[in-house]
Amino acid sequence: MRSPVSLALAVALALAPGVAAAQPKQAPPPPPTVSCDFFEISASSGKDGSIDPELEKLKKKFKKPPFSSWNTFKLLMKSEKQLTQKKLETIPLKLGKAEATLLGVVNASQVRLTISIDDESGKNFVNNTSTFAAGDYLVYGHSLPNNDGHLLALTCK
Amino acid sequence: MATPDDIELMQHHDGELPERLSADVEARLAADPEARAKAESLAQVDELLRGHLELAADNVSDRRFDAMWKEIDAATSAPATATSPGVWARITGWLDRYRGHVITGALSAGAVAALALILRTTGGSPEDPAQAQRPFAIDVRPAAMRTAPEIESLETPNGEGTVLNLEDEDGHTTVIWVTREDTVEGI
Repeated sequence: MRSPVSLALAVALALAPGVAAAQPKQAPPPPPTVSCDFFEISASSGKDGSIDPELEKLKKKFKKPPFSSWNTFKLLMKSEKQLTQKKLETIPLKLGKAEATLLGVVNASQVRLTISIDDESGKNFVNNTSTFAAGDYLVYGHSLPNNDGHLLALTCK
Repeated sequence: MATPDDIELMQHHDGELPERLSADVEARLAADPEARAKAESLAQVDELLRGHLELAADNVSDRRFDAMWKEIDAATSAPATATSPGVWARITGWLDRYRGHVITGALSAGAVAALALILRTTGGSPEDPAQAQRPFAIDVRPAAMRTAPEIESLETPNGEGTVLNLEDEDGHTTVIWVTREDTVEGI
């Protein structure tokens, strides 16, 4: 003879889909959003080199080419932006402007985005789509006529 | 003197017991007030049921009633074609035998289902605005577990682009260096 417990389980299994169906429909998940820090940096050569304290995390990288041509790195502007998927964000720079669009998040740990940078005169000089890990850095660089460097570094999390 | 059980009481009430057994039940009822009360309840339930069925029968039109009787006549006069009971008869028979267990099981299952519903509700409705607005969290993995960046496309109008990857214990740093043809102006 079947015990009441086994009967209860059988009936509960039969009722389970009904219980699940009684749940309200799930709201669509919010679009992926990542927080990105943008650092606009001026690179130059001086008698006594210095690195802005806010660029501490990039200090080691500045010892390597192509950055090792300079010994002074100054933060011109820092901006934190919340990038929402497929929404263009403009980052005004001291020298020009950048536009960033989050294309998506890959494997829950990588950011896929498009960056476009215009120079001070409004001329676009780089368009790039990359996928990189959260916490890693992307650095766009360019030499100026006076041999100084102009960098835009970004990292997302 | 033993108290008559429920089956005996029902059979007695329906007049299905042999005369000797019926007299025996009568005697036991006379001596046992509890059994007598049970028998009276049984009689009341029977009366209620009959009254309800009679009312239901009154709602059936005569023409439909005739048709039903004809069907019953045809069924009872037709020769039996199968000796084994049908599936439905077996199911109802099983239910009759284990009615108590089925009711207990159904009640337990109902309680389980209600509990599951309550737990899911208190766990946070998917339509809860606070939950829907919860910011998307990206997983920042340790530097050693990060994969190398991938450059899908790179356009450098009026210039050349060079991609470098600097990797150390802090992770990857991807450098996109642009050498412009017109270096008259800065960025």
